[in-house]
Amino acid sequence: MELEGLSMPEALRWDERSACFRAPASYYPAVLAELHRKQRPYLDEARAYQNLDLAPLRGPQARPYQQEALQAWLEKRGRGVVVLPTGAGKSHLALMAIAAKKRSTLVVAPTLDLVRQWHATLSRAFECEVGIIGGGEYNLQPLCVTTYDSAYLHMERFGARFGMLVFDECHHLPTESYALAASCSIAPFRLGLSATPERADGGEAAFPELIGDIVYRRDIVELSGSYLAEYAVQRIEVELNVDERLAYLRARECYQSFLRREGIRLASPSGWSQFLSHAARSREGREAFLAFREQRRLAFAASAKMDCVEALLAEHAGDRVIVFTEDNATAYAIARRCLAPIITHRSKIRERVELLRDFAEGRYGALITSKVLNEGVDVPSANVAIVVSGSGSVREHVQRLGRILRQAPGKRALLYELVTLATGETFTSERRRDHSAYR
Amino acid sequence: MLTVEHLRVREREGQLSLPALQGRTLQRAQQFAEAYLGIARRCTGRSRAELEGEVATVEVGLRERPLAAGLWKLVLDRCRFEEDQGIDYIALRRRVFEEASRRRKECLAGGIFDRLNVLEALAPEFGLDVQGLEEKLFGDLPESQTLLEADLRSPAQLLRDYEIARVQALLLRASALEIEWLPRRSEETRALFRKLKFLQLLYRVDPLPAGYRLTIDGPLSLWGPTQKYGLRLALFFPTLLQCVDWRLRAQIRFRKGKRASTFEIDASSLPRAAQALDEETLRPELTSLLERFGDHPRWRVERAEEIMPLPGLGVCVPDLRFEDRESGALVYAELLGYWSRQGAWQRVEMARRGLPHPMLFLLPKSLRISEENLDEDAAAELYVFRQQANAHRVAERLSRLVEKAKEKPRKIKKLAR
Repeated sequence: MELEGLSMPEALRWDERSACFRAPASYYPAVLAELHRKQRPYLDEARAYQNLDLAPLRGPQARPYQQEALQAWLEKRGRGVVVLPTGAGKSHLALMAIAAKKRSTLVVAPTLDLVRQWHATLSRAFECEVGIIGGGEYNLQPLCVTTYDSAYLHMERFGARFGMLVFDECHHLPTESYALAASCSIAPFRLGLSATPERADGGEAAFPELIGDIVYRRDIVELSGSYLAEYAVQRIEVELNVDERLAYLRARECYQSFLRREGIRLASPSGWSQFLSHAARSREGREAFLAFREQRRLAFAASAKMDCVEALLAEHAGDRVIVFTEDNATAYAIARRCLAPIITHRSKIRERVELLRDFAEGRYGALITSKVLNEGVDVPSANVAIVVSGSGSVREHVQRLGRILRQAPGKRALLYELVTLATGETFTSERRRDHSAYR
Repeated sequence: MLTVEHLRVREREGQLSLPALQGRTLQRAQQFAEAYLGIARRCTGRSRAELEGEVATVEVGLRERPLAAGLWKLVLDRCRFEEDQGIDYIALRRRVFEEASRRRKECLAGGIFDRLNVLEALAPEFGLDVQGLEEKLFGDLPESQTLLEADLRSPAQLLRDYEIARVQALLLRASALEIEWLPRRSEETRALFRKLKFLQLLYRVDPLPAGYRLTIDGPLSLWGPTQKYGLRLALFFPTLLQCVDWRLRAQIRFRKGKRASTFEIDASSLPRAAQALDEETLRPELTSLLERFGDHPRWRVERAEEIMPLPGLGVCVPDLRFEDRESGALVYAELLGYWSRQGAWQRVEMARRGLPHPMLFLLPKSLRISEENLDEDAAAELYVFRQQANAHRVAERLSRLVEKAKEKPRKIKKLAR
């Protein structure tokens, strides 16, 4: 390639091993744009994606904010992130974008449940064969769905075969490994979708390079009642029983006295890593660490919470309830006690598909899960969420609320948050509620 | 395979090292190995949860935890677990959950949901009592699975596996390897290069006064260190271990956000593998070519054993050896990788200078190298293919090479010198 007089990306470097200039695949549109600008003749052997002959898009008419979002994305040359709350129709917006660009498209989603859901959505909308890569399947098609893990593993091989990428729940992308899925693709058109793009590590700063700028944004409170179901949040406070309280106080004293002795402040930015490092150095440290876990377990899975879940499931036996926990052990304990179906990362794919279908159809009134249903899974009829325990992450809490916000006639959603009084969980709860959706 | 969680490392002034298993540590490692192997032997036929319960009784000091966890992981890797095949757990759960959901809805009109009633009603359907039904409800979770058999090693073998596995665990975080290697046996060379090709790693071979320097990484390394190839580098290591004389240097970023450190190890650090050198799997393009030539009337084909050292140009490691059934003439073939453009040009240069045998180089079209780059009278041919090498076209070129060798035998021999 003759480079003299061309303004090429800095990433373009001579590679002795392949004896040619190379740049990350994502620079393909920039290189081509420069060649066009300088009217240089070139032979493009990179592009392996197709212009698709798609059937006209079926489905509901686009809502005004979806039209605005599409327009904003198109004005940025088909690159950018759209932030919409869960249930606002991000998937439909992606279909509109795919229909507008008509290029071979790869949709990247964080979980296998979402991959299945996207597969069904794309197949229904465009009436063509849709490929799946991930979860033991490898069927590469011009319209294809994959997981972030598989995209990272395989993009080196099929990065030239897609002209458009859709990153669902795109806040997963800016990590050292997953980001390679974006940089190993030549796709000129990129759409990122998220309800919660901000990351604790500030990784969203990488969006402009990996996908594009945030081009459009709407919040839950802006759409609630009009395009999302109306909702209420109810915090239920429970207390530890006497035995639990004693055990809790013992465990708390054990780890806190260790922290005091070692001069560690858990609230400081390096507090947690200091605790882990000091805990590994002595028997007392190890005991302190186990005590920390025990007091957390007691707060998260207090027996009063179990009673409360049982009572709520009875009260909402006619509704569609999703129960969220922080850990698998609590989720299985609830499933055993209430004899309610459960989905965790250990559930086999066949059972997950069946359970989600049967829950959506009303065969089950409740579904227990730990974290795997936090994001994206679309069950419009779900109208009650019970957060038994969770982390302090605002993103997680907003995503969980999002599971019950899809609009349905006459629907009013209700989120219960169970909090054990006079434990560290009250602070965790305050932290995760720091969002406009909870004010 | 172990992961970094199973490691204790020393990091000092940019150098990374694994503490040697010696003295008190070695003694404790032997005790753990014996204890864990004993548990696995005793627990055949019992559940994984019971197995883990037994393991928890082995006393492990704080600083010994990575060592103990690593050894136990290697024992577990050789255990085969299985759930009770006679039960469809998903169907069992569906039945229980549907019935519970139905009864809970009925209670909306009045009454109290009682889980025991549900279990009592359903247990006879599965030929179980209530307790049995409760136990089988999640009987397919890993902790409920039964240890069927354990293909266990001796404690000494387990320790040796552990020493290798912890180097591999470290290499998972490596961005590149630099190996100085003195080939002592031709099988070593074949095994190393076949493994590199199979793992699709990029390598550069530079001659040293004694032996070679191999620099191994992947295509994305051009823009900075990446750990994307760590798994492949780790998988490559056991093959290196089968060689006699080598020294490895790796750049490793052990902790996220920290700078890379150097890890060094040589053949004297670990006992050489006693077993025969691996017969590596061929790449699929070659496997299908082998199949299609299986009953070819003219050509007998097999995996090549030869190595062709080419002074100043490195080594040529052919993949296949074709023998003309009639004349006995030999032609070798080598498949070049997707990223080996420089390697392909090197082969062109080799062919121009002369080769010890007629060679056919199979080049994927993506390498952007034309077949016309070699002259008519060269001792080699280039065959550019799009997705899969066509057996008919390969046969044509093989015949041409044999004809050329007949016509100009002197030239080939002369060039070979």
